[in-house]
Amino acid sequence: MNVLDIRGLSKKFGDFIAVDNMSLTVGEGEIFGFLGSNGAGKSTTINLVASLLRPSSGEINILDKNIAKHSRFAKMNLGIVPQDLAIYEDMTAFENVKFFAGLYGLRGEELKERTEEALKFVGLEDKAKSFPKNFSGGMKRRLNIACAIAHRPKLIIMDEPTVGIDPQSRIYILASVRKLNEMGCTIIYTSHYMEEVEEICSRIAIIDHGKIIADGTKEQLIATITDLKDIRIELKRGEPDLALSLKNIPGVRDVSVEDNMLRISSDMAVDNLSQILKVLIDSGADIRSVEEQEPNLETVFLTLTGRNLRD
Amino acid sequence: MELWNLGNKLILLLFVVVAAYFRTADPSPWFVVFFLIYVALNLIEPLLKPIYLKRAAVITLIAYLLFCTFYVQSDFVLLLALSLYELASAYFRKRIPVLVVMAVPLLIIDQQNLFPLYAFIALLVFFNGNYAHRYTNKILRQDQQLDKMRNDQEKLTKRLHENQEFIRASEYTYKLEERNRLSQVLHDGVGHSMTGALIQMEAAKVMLRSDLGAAETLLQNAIGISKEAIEQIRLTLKNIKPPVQQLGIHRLKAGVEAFGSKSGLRTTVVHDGEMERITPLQWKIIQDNVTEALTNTAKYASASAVHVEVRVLGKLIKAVVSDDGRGEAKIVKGLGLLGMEERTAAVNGTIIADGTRGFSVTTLMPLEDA
Repeated sequence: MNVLDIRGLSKKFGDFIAVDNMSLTVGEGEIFGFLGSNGAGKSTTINLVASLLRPSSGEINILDKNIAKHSRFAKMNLGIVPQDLAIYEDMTAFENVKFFAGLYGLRGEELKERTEEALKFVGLEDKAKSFPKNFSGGMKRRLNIACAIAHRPKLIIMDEPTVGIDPQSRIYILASVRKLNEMGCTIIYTSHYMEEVEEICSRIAIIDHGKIIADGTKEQLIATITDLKDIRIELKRGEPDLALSLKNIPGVRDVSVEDNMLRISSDMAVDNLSQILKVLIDSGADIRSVEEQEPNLETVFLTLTGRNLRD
Repeated sequence: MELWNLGNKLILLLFVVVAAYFRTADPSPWFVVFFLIYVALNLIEPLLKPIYLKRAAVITLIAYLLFCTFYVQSDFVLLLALSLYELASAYFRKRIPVLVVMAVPLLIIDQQNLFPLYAFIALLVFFNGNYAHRYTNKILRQDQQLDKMRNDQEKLTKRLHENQEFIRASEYTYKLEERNRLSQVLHDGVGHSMTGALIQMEAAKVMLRSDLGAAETLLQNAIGISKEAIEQIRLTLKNIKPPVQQLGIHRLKAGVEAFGSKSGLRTTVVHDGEMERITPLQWKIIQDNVTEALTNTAKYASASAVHVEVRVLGKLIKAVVSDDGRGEAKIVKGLGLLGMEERTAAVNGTIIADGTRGFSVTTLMPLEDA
């Protein structure tokens, strides 16, 4: 069963096309990453899934039910952590979570229990009676998450939940994303921080100008642009004669020597670093440093779109 | 310039005639005669061809005017300004001496009220004359330049035609040579083999009744020769057909270069990766998309350079056309972009149009064997 199924989705604002014929499925238990620069269409897509915007064309299904036809069902199964904080500063943390959970139809004892549970989950149980205006940015973010998860949705969408917060809160939030996932939630995570997406997402879609230009696991995405890795070995002195014997090692495609720097281009799939080092040591070379560079998602994005993620 | 002088003279003459008529108590009919003589003398000058006669005419005119000034009517002195200007500018290149010559009549004017009038007219004639002189020169120079450019253009067009003719001729020659080579290959290799096989088969037919064993050997030979010939045909055809990637990238380069010379934009084409993995259909899409994007650049971008890049990545083909023009913050998809999208979607590809730094159109297509 697909938790989210988007087919031919488009959203136009006048002449401007924010989402362009997008199709996408997210399976149960995935942490799905949306990676794109600012203005690529991530937030518009999320607002469409949350029914905050009406699509110009295309359809969206949550748990195999069309959100336009089954809007109540869709809302009950969807938790959204918006990019801009959605909390009331003049209500206590507890009241905030209770208010949002109440909107989903929870009542009485159940409402109270779920509220406490959500606050506990984000580590704010001892701040239940405090007002968010005195909270740090990170704490406000966590409260924001608590508001979105109290009704135990199947699908949680987090729109840039780590923008502008301290590293500690960031680590906490990333950990709670994993924990939510382990508890059976499917998560869609948008960010323009490549490292975060690389770290926690099981599948990633690169989105640009409202289109998904590539999707898959990190490894699959990298494989779309290259199957080579770069190994740089700094030696005490240049050994141009080594190049030939290195080229015989399986996986090695190309070797170049510049002064005392050895650059080896090798198949990513072949694990041959120890063999390379052995050849070097056997020939008496004096190794100063070894660096293995695999392309990352930033490189993928740059290669495919010609721009940096943070442009 | 001559026409301009005559026009000026006419205006001045009218002015002097009117002035003389009103200022004199009883205008004498003789005045008319003197004015007409002046007009006649003026008309003589343009009729004369040699330059010294023209000068003589001007000097005569000046003398006549001086005579009139002293003996008929002092207003005639006003007409001197133009003739003096004409004479002086013929002899002096510098402007100041011209002005000095034109100032000479001021010394002989006896009537007080004519003094400022003459000075005014002289200055007017001087400045007017200078401007007219300068602009006529300019026009003259531009005319010459235009003529030169026309000549150049004619020569270039001629050369272009010659070159086109040459290209056509070379293409034809190449085709002929190629055909020649082909028929040679077919004749030398396949033709001889087939003849050999035919002889063997005919011999086998004769031997069939008498010596079955020998006939069989002959037939076997014929079969062998035929097989070889078929193999040879296959090899020849394979050698003749150029590899797809060569055709693709060359066609693309030729197309982009032709666009560059037509539009005046600087163009660059680079490629990277294993070009042979691109299928003919994908080449066609790349070619069409690049052409479309180039047309858009020429139409809208006000760019000075355009860059085309084709890269074969791990599992994708990427073709980019980017220019250094003014870009477009809000991209409105026209027919061109929609067409590109449709074409590319047919092979499961996508188009990214980006207008943030110049304008770029990227075609991404999955490699087929990946």
